[in-house]
Amino acid sequence: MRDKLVGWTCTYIPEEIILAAGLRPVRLLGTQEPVRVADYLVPSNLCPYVRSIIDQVSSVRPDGVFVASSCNAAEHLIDALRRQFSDIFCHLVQVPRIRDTGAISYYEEQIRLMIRVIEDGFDVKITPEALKNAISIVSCIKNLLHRAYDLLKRPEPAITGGRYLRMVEMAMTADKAQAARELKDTLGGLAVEPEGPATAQEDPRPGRPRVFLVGSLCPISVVDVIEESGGVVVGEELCAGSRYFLTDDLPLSVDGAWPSGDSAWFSGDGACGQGLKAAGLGDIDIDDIIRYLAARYLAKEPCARMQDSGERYSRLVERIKALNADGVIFYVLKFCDMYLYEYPILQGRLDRLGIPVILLEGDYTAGGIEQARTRIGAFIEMLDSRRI
Amino acid sequence: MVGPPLDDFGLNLTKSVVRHALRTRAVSALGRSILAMRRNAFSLRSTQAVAEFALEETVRAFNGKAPTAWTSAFAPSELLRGMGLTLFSPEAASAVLSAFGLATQMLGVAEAHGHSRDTCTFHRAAMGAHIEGIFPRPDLLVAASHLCDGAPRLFCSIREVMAHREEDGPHRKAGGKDRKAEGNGADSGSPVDAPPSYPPFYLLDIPWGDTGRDAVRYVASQLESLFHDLAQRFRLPGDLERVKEAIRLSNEARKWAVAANELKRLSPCPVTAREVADYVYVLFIGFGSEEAVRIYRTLYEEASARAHRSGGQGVEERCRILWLHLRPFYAGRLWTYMEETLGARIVFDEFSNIYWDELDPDKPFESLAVKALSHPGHGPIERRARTVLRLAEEYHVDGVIHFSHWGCRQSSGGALMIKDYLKEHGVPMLILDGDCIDRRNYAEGQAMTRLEGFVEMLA
Ligand code: SF4
Ligand code: SF4
Repeated sequence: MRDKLVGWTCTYIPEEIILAAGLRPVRLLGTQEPVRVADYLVPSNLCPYVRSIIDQVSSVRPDGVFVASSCNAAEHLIDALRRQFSDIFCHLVQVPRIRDTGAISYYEEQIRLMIRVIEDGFDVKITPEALKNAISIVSCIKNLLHRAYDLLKRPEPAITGGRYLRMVEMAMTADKAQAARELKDTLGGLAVEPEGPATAQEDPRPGRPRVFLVGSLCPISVVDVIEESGGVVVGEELCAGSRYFLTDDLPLSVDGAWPSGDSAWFSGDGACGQGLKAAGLGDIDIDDIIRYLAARYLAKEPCARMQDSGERYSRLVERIKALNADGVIFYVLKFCDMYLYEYPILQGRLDRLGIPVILLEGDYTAGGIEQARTRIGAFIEMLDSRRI
Repeated sequence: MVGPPLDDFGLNLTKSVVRHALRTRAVSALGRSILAMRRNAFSLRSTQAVAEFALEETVRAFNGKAPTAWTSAFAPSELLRGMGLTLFSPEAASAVLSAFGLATQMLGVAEAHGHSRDTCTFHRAAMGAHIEGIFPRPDLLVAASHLCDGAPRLFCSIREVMAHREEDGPHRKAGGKDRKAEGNGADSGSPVDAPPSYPPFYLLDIPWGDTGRDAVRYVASQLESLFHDLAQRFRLPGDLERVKEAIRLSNEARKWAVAANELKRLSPCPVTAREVADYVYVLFIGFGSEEAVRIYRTLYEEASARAHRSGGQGVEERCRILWLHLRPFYAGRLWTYMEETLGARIVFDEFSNIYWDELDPDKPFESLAVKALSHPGHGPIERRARTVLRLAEEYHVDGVIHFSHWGCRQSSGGALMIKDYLKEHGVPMLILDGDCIDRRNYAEGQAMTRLEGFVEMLA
């Protein structure tokens, strides 16, 4: 019998809950092909990621789906799924758009609700132990990804952007034990010195234009095209990329060992106070764990949907500068208001710093990417000519 | 938004004329003379009062005696009015620009600044107008996350434009000078690298489809923090009594609006949506003011006088229509054609629906939270669809038309599912694609042909 699959749509959803229920969390990334089913439910000028998920659910038939209230398109997604697939467990997770204490309390209640509906829907019981274990597992995976990202960010990247993003995708979709194994193998195989320069097992391509990638959902084939065109992806801020695992308080020291249940992982916690820190993982009760999850997820590097008075862009620009990126590719899915509004803001800030940026709009299909090849090539060439 | 579109009257207003007029004290005189010229264009006194209200509010926003808050549709006007702020709705103002024939230019300005042609034109035109300096300068920005994503994103961009505008001078009013102006919800102590003179941006996070206790508490606490933060930042009285008074006025306006709506059930309908389309201005920023009470009371009186006069005679009502979402605000013949040529009367529109219960003045934050959370469009599609079905029944309509405004994910995104739901309940629905603001995105001939077919089928 296959594992029960429960899809999730947004990196603000704590997949730990799904895992703790003995189910397999799978990030839904859509079919990335032209849609058939979605056309009957939502108009063509709605987010192609959301449309693609409708078709994916239709073909994969997961046992359950958690959709976050990310944006208007995501709200229509839950409606469409409920209407079309009445036999599939579907739940909307209300994710706050602000990050103060009121929002954390509200999010705590949403996580509690998630636990209740999953217990009812799948006839399971989520114990504090199972939840702690799930947190350790997800944390382990995210820390491994963090290490992979560090390889990308090096002065001479020790890994290609395409390979790195495939690791992130695998971590979000595969069975977690298998994902951890594969991540460790891959990272081990790269034989990177902790200090000093990377051993260039992958072609580091020194001297090539360094590109930072920003956007919502970006098919990995776009990254391949960038790298085939001569660019090096040195950093990203993507929904199926670093946004999955980057958190302000994520400790960097975890060695990637399979969690033994000790409390070391919590030592970097700054988000929910001394209580948790002092208690350690072994002693804390379920309320503390839930509060921890709520605080931790809301402390994630904010995406475009979160309330923002410019901080997001200041931080993004700092990241881009710190990586010495020669240029930025802003990839946005068509009809995604969240990111369409972001482009002029970022463009303005980067212009002032003399960092070139281009906007690529995509329909989340392979066909669309080929059309962008020429523009990407010209952009990389332009960046290259500026380096001389 | 000031009655029928101005270019219907051969008024050729250029961008520079409007900008100059609005930037000087001449705005009031200009507006009043336009309204006087167009008096005959208003079939209802109350509709003219709406135009006057919009004008006076805009004048106040330019005069800057009180801080001006830009607000998104459905932000809690009662609270902000009760605090003595002047309100400006960029979304409603975009409709005015469209009626003035200026929207296309403003859209072009925003597009030249990197704004996508796929975003909602209510917001994009506002962005262009802001870049051009046509709109009054905001002292603060308050967006509610319901109904749509566009407004919060627009406000974030507006703030950015102001923060980095080279010629941006110091804040022109007292308050807000001495502190950085982040708005709400951010981590404390986050770095803000722009000058402190630009306006704070508050986002009210309204959970989607959750009307439970936790959601009410969450929204109410945001409203309460907003109240205290604004009182401190702008040195406002912080007097809750005035907010309570605004809530009483809101209830009073609500009462007359409900009474006027009751009359729309009659056949023939005494007041059709064509005449009250501009009331969205009042819906967006008017509740909590005395003007709104006057406007809705007058509307009720006028509708009731007409109902008595006509006694069911003299108006052809081949079929009755419920209109969902908004209509094109630029010059066009769509609604006139529908009503006068096809005899299809739009007896009710979604924006006239008074969806909230009476507010409790003694629980201002909580009742405003409940109002926000109860919006039928901000929750599962069944909630909106059920509301539409109820309205269709109450107003005895033969069919429903959804105007699918191009950039609107919120409303248009759900149109197919609503159509499906209504079909299950035997109510026909037509989806008309177009754009409320941008005439470049709308083929009137095609829309009319589709309308004809639909009305034929209904009649
Ligand atoms: S890509 Fe944009 S529109 Fe689509 S789900 Fe994400 S935020 Fe929403
Ligand atoms: S038309 Fe739609 S997208 Fe535009 S302001 Fe209204 S709800 Fe928002």
